Amino acid sequence: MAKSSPDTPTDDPPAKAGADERRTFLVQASAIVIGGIVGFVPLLVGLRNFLNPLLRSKDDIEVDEAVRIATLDDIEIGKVYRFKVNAIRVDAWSKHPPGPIGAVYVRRDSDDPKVLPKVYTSVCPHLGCSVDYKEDRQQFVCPCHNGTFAKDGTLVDPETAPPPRDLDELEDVEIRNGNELWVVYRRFRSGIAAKIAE
Amino acid sequence: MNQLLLWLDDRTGYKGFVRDALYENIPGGARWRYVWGSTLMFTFGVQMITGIFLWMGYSPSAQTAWESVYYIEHQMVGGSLLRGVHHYTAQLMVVLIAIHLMQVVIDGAYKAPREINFWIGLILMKITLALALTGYLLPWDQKGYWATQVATKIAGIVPVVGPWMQQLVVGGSDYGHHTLTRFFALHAGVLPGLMIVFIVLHVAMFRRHGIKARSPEKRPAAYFWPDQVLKDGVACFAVLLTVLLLARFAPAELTAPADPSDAYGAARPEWYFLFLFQFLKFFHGETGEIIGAIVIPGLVMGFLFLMPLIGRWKIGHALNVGVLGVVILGAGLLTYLAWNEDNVAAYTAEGAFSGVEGKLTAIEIEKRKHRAERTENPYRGKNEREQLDIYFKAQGIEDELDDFLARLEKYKAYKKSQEHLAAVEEAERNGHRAQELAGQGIPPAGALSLIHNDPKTQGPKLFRRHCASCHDHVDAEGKGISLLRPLVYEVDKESGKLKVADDGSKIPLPNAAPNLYGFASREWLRGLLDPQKIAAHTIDTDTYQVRDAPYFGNTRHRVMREDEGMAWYVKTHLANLGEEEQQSLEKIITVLSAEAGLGSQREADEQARADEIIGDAQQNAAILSTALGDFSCTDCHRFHGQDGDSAPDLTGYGSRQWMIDFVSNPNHERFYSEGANDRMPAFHKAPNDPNQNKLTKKEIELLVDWLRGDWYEPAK
Repeated sequence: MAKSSPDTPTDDPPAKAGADERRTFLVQASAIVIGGIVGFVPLLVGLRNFLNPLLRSKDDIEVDEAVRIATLDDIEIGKVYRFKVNAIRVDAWSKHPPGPIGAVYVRRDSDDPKVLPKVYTSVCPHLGCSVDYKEDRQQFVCPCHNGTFAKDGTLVDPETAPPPRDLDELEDVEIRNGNELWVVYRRFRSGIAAKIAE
Repeated sequence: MNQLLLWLDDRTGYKGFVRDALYENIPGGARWRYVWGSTLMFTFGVQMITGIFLWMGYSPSAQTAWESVYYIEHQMVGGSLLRGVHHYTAQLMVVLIAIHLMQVVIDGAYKAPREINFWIGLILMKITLALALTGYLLPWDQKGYWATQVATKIAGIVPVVGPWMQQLVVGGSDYGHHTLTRFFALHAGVLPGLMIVFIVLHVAMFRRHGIKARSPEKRPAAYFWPDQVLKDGVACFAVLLTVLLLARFAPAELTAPADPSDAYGAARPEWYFLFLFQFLKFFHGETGEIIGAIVIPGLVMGFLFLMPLIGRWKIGHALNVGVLGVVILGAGLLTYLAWNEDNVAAYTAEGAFSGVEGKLTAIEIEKRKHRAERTENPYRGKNEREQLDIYFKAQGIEDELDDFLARLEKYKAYKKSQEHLAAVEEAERNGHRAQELAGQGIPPAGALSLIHNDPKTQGPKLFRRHCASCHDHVDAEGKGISLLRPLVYEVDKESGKLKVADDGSKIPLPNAAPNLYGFASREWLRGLLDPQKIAAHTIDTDTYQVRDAPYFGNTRHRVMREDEGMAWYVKTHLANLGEEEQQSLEKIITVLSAEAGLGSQREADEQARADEIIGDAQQNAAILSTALGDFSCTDCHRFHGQDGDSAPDLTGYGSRQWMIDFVSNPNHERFYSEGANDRMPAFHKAPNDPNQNKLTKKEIELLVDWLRGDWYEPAK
């Protein structure tokens, strides 16, 4: 039995004759193609699954339904309130019973029932930290990069402030049964000037 | 480009690696028989790749393992294919290892100087089997859970250290979160890590020794590249194609979530461990178990390890090949036996055992007859063999007994197989149902709670256990739950002899209750109010059983007494109704049945409401107050303010709450008060003292929902 170490091949195969060259080329090409297939197919099978978040249609994941936030009696005119948003949360395979999934700020400017309250998400449009409302300053302040918003949600110092836009207002607001505030809660893409729902 | 490659080679020397890898010398040239090692490398690569991607979707805990695998399999894009490829490649890997091992032994490639590499190969085989075993548990489904239980219990019987080993592997004394986290760490971390180390050693040593060539003198030598590479590639391609087709057309199974409280009848290891499973059937008791499960497999493995040493001996090689042959053939035979024991019923012709069954049934009928007729029962207290002796003697066919006993053995094996196949079918059904339920979204407590709260799954089980001894649940075709009800005649207490009616016939003792299939539906009520059916029963005196008694025919309510009881009323007053009265009866049925609010009748009920047959409570009460014959329903029954009080309250009859209340306590004054109840027990009469109740409230709800046909079905 030949004991050859890889560095010093001893009994080299004889050189191929010219007539065999075409055959050798075919063999080489086939070996590369088939080797490529067997190497890449398992990887593709895995990658396709990995791309699930992009390939899956959004429709069957998220349901845009209004949730009850508070009753109007709890909201004094002119003040800003923070309320938890309680809703069913679907997390991959888990379907959680209604519980807090986020928070909104609510402000009522008039007791005219036709004037709907203003509702803002608490998520900073900059990079997604949770915005705090400072009663004494009458401003929304983001704890992360000092983004500051006026009481009506507009960005303070837009030239120098880090956030790219005003605080995101939730527009699907509805009063049901005379005094219940219902809102469709949404998340928006952060870091860009345009307000685009995720 | 060339410049760049040169630069790269200068820094890394990659060309040397490539040359070493591709220009390995193969004496005698490329051959198909050299592909097996490469296919094994390939399958390991596939498992690494698919395994890592599965890892991204998998969550190891008792409440999330099954759930995340369900999600991969059914909700994620390409998840079923990914899991299928991993599943089938694992199985193929075991097959390829067996082939590789056989080839190495037959070719004598374990001999000097390759002894150490042979041992490394055996270690790799053990790691592969350990990977297969640990991976089988990870989905945390019934199949994996129960099969793995056996494996860890075997670890537990190892003398002295067994119990500790078992606890270390299981992560405690019971299966739970830590069993999964440990198995997962082994499966995805420790074992693949070891595998890589040993594969590197295996390949490095293989390159050092070169290939063990087969008749190299016949053909010129050649390099690994390109001929052998192509052959290896084609072989790997065949493996890949096999796996892809299997994964695509026979997706990896996912049975119901692991349920320690369930009697899982289909427990079997994966097919490549079946021979060990079968082998264990031959051993008995603690010592036997240790010999069968540990000592003998250990000796076989020990022999494999000693092969290089035995091979030095003159006849050593022949012995090695012989022993391996015996082991492989033996394993094959055991696998076949295990498979055959489980599946023999599937290919046994129907009626193949009609002779045996006929005789066994005849003996049963004899026994029933003696019991019913109160005659001396020679079979009482005798075991099976003695009973057969008695029967064959009585029939004067003693000479057939030996043949019969031989057939009986086969028949028992057949019945066992039948039970196993039924258990497998049930496991498949439950698995399917679990996945159906999971489609609604799984509560944080896990998918098992979906099964435990599913009337469709739990209803029949509860019914069998608590109701079926009296009630049937069979549809018009006779399918459903129905136990055999032996015929029993009424006995005169004083004389101890059978009572005889005026016409000379014996009086069968009521021993059952109404068929509850479709309870409170219009169809069901139509039968109840049919003079031909309410007290009917079919007695089969040939086989001594009560075959059919859909309503009160096999209860005390059937007994006709003057001026009393539902059966009396229906039989005497509803027997000759005029056309107008017949219509009133149909109205009563419609109105009463609507009280149940059955899902199956929703459309019919709505139609009746639209046609103003069903109205508000007052109108409905008026309908039930219509006299048919001399009486109306409400003369005896309470119904929406009409207060008859000698018979069960019909307000909300057949509704969920009515049924729950009735099952909880039929003796309540709303129902059968003052001894009017026949033998129906109260299943939940002490709401404030849970330990006193036969069934929990939840169980009764599940039963009632099942009876009402009220369970989740996915939208088609």
